[in-house]
This record gives sequence, structure tokens and C-alpha cells, in this order.
Amino acid sequence: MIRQLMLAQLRVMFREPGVLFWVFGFPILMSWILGIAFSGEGQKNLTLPWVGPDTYLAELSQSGQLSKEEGGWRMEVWGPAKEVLHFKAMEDSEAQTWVRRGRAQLIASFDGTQLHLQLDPKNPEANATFHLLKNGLENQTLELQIDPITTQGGRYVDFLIPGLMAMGIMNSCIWGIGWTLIEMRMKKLLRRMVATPMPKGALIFSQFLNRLVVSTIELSVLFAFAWGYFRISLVGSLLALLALIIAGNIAFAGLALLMACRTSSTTVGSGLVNLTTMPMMILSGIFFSYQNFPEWSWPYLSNLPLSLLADGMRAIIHEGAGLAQVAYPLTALTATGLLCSFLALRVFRWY
Amino acid sequence: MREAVIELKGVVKRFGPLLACDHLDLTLYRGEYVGLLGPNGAGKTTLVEMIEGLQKPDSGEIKIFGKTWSQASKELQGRMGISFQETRFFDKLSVEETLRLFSSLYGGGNERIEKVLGQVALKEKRKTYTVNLSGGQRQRLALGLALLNEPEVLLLDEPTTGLDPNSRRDLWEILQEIRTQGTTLILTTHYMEEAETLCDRILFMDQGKVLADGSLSELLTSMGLTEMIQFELDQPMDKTSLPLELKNLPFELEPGLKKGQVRVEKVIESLPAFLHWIEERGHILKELQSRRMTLDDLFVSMTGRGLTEDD
Ligand SMILES: Nc1ncnc2c1ncn2[C@@H]1O[C@H](COP(=O)(O)OP(=O)(O)O)[C@@H](O)[C@H]1O
Ligand SMILES: [Mg+2]
Repeated sequence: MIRQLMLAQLRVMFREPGVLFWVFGFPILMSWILGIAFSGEGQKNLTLPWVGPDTYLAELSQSGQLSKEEGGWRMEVWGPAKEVLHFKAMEDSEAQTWVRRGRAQLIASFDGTQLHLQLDPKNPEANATFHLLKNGLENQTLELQIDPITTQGGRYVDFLIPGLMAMGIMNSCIWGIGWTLIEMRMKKLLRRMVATPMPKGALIFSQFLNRLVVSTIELSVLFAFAWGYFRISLVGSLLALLALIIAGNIAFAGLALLMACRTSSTTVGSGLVNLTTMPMMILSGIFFSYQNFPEWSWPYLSNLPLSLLADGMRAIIHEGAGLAQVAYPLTALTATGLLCSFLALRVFRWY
Repeated sequence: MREAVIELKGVVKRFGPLLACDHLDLTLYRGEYVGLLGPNGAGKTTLVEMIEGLQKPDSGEIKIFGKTWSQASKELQGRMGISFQETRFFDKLSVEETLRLFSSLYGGGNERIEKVLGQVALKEKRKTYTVNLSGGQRQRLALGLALLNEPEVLLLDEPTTGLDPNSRRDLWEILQEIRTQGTTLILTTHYMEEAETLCDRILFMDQGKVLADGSLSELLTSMGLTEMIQFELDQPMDKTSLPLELKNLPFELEPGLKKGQVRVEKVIESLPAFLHWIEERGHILKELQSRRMTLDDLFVSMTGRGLTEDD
């Protein structure tokens, strides 16, 4: 009996197209992508901002720990595998920007006696980098001083909150519009509604407005919590933030329409939802910066809709950006959304 | 003069090699209750959905109120009431909320909702989520949506399929009440009883063709012989020995020649002669039944298959 029960369920699983991908393909794909991000392979680029004169680095290079390279210094660390750390000298303000944007998690400087490392101890990536650096300096009798970053913008949670807000908009649209449409089509409710004199645009527009209202409320609640609990305040322009929320909703409403334009099967539908959201959740720098991926991929990754939205939110919330500074993400997101909607509605299956 | 409401000329619909509608010519008139009767796969849904504008014919022309779908889709949608073979609603929307939503889609307010709730007998369920409705209640709600815009033409695709006999009868009653308003009804079904009860015009459909078209009595008398005797004898029957008056009747015998049936004009006229012949031959009658012909018999005689059989 157990055997037949198992057999039946296995058969159902293997005969469902898509399931095989999620069971076997997807985990492999994920580990591969994350592997690129978090292992030395594929040219991981750990560059640390160095603030102040680099005389100490020059000193280290005498003892063979470091070598000079173009634009900075290079340190090879032998752990389980060889890893390379790069130091790049820069102004403090630039270093802060690097950290805020997730390009680096740690700022190094030398005050004559101690090596100061500014980092957020709650950031797992920063800790990993710190330990790597500590390994590299093992045979130096040098005091390492951790200066926890406590000002807004440099902490891990500062990186996280705007990303989560962007992700909120994405999920709200993909589920609220895309999934809902697929379900309505599956139930033949869509064709029943389209068989009334209702203009088709009215249905789509009402969904978009709903998403706008819901995500604005959702984001307000999230931000209020972040403000109360993590003391994150809005440095930039509220107007720009609202504009970005609208643009984000346009972009993801468009993607949702495209995703939902043909299928009437909820199985295929949930696959499509995952296929749309999962890669962006990983590649768009929500939980960790996309700058963990090889440098050549940054221009592509930073132009993913979710990256544009998340980076724009970070710029407004932490760096004080206004409408002018987020003009690019605003236009790009709106254009993406309109283009996707246009394509989707051309092939949309209403019946 | 009767007013034509729906006119089809040479309508063809193919799905690959399959002819779902095979050169249909049809005119339906105002106030008619038309039953599209046919087995599964006959092409009923395809035909109805072409009338509803949801599918396009490959060739031929469909006019409703003298207009084609490409000319006046919004107007036609507003004048028709439709319900599909199966529709589900927003799960967590109540009956009343669903009616309100659809009323607004037809450009109306909430003024008709009470009336419709009464018509489809869902007043007590108005606050119930649609997901919690029974099959019969769900079909009544679908009918309610179709009635919201006071349609001149009502198209119902298998409104009672899958319902228990009581729910089916409830729905028939509702449709009989609406009849007084002069609505034209087109209803598809594979229950002959439904067509017999509700429809004053019955279209037999099979394999994309209309095989017969007329009122119940017209269809039955079109066969000439409207009654039927079914019998079983103790030994094989020899048709050649029948007396003259019975010899030309269409006896149909099952293999083994003991069991069979014969269509007759009037049982009371033919039966005595038949019984007399049986006695004369020394046969013993094991079973005897006589009844009026039904639509099902008619369908079998035209297609060799029953209405509810799947082929
Ligand atoms: N979208 C479609 N694609 C392919 N074949 C179809 C499609 N819709 C209907 N058919 C076929 O056309 C025939 C008529 O179908 P349908 O009109 O649904 O019959 P009915 O409603 O009388 O049961 C059937 O053989 C059915 O399989
Ligand atoms: Mg059908």
C-alpha cells in the first residue's frame, strides 16, 4: 500500500512539466549563482576602501604581504583556497558611499598604531571580509580595531530596508495582478467579465490602482517600523520616493501582465511567478549586493527592474536624492512597464 | 410576422481537422425558448460561444438583432445575458457583492439586485461567500448574473449539468417564470427531459450539424410512428410469418431474435394483432412494454447513439 501510494505520487510529480525543473534544475541553478557570488571563483571582487595615507600599506608590501597593483594594493590570503583582497585608497566620503551602496562592507584606515576597520557587525558579509583580512594579517603584531558603523546608511539594515520595500512592490504586483489574472482565467471568470460591456482597460487599470494603494500603505507601515525600530529616516525627497513607488508599480504591473498574458493553469502560473521573482530577489541586491557577482555583470544586474527600484530607494532614503537624481530609474522603470504592458496586451488571452 | 433575433448563415468552425460547426444556417425568433440538444462534443458550446462573440466562425455570418459582432460588440454584450458551462466566481466575495460587481460592469446600479436575488431564489444566501455555495446555488448565481441587464436574449450553456434532480427542477421553474417577459432563450443540454419541459423549439445537434429542428410534437410526429412496443419472447421470432398488417412495421430485433422493439402509430391498434400472432405461433411472451416515443428514441434512430452516451 505504501508502495502504491508513493508510486502514485512520484508519477504525478514526474509527469508534471515544470516540477522537474523546480525539484532538480532550480536548486542546482541557485547554488551555481550563489556560488559565483560567494566563492572566490568567477573573479570575486573584494575591494576595500582605504582611507588616509597609504604609507602603512607600502610598509606591508615590504614584508611581502602586499603587492602594488594598478589603482591600489593587492593582498593574497591563503585559507582553504586562495582569495584576493584589493585595497583602494579614497576619500572618506567616497568610502561611505561604497558602503551605503553595498559595494564594500568594510572601510580600513591606519592611525599610526591601530588598523581601524569600520563595519556593521550584524552584516554577515562584513564579518566574512573581516575574518579574511585577519587571516591575511596573521603574522603581523598589529592591533585590529573594529569601529562599528552606527550612522544611517552604512549599516546592513539600511541596505536591507529599501530593498525589502522594492521587493514588496514587486511581490504585490506579481501576485496581485499576475496571479489574480491567471486564476481568473482558469476559473473562466475573466471571460465572463470580458463578455460584459466593460472596457478591458478598466479591469487592468483598476488592478493597477489597487496595487498602488496597497503597496503605498505596505511601504508606509514598513518604513514606520524601520523608523521606530532602526531609526532610519527619510533623508531625501518624499516626492521622489512617491514617484519611484508609482514607477515601480508601473514596471512590475507590466511584468505581471506579461507573465500572465497566456496561461490559464495555476501550476504553470506558480512556476512563472517563481521564475519572475526568484532570480531578481537574488540578483538585484536585496539581501546582498549584486557587486558580489563578477564586475562585468554589474551593468546588467543594476538595470534589472528590482535593482533600479531598490537602488533608487536607497539613494532617496539614505543619500538624500531628489527627483533629479532618480530621473534615470524613474524613466527606465516606467518605460519597462509600458513596454511590457504593450507587448502583453497584444497577445493577451481574454477568453 | 415573427421578429428574427439571431441569424446564422453558413457558419463553419474548425478545430484542426475537426468540424465543430458544419455549415449551420439558423434563424431564431424573439420570445422563442430554443433547446440545443446533443451529446457531448456535438458542437453546442462552440455554436453558443460564436453567438456570444467569444469565438469567431471560420466562415459564414452571424447577426444578432441584425448586427454582427464586429459592428456592435458593446451593444450586443449589453443586450445579452450569458452563462457558461462552468464559471467560478471570486471565492471570497458574497453573492450580493458579486451581483453588484457585475451590475456595474453592465453599467447599471444596484437597483436590479433585489429583483434578481428574488428571481434566482438566493435572497437568503446574499451574504454567503460564493465559494461556499452548492452546485445548484452557484448555477443560480450564474443565471442571476445573466439576468442583471434585463437581457433580450439569454444564452445558457448546460445550466443544469451535474446538478441533482431537485436543483434542476428549481432552475427550470425560474426559467419558466422569466418566459413571461418575452425573453428569447437558447439553452444547451444533453438532457432530453430538460428540452421537453422548457423549450418550444428543439434543435438536435450531432457532430456539428443540426439534424432536426422543430417543436417536441413536430419532431416526434416527423417519424410518423410515435409509440413503441418492446417485448421478449421465449424463442427466436420469425418475421416472415407476421400477418400483413404487422409485416411492414419497423421491427428491430436484438441478436438471438428473441428480444426486440417495434415503432407503431398507435399501440392500441397494433398490439392486439401482435398478441394474436404470438398466441397463434405458440410463443410465450416473457416481457411486454409499450410507451410513447421520446426524444432519446428519436436521437438513437437518427444517429445510432443515445444522447447521454459518450462515443
Ligand atoms: N478550443 C478547442 N480546441 C480544439 N477542439 C475543440 C475546442 N473546443 C471544442 N473543441 C472540439 O469541438 C467539438 C465540439 O465541442 P463543444 O462545442 O464543446 O461540444 P459540446 O458543447 O456540444 O459538448 C468537440 O469535439 C471538442 O473536442
Ligand atoms: Mg459544451
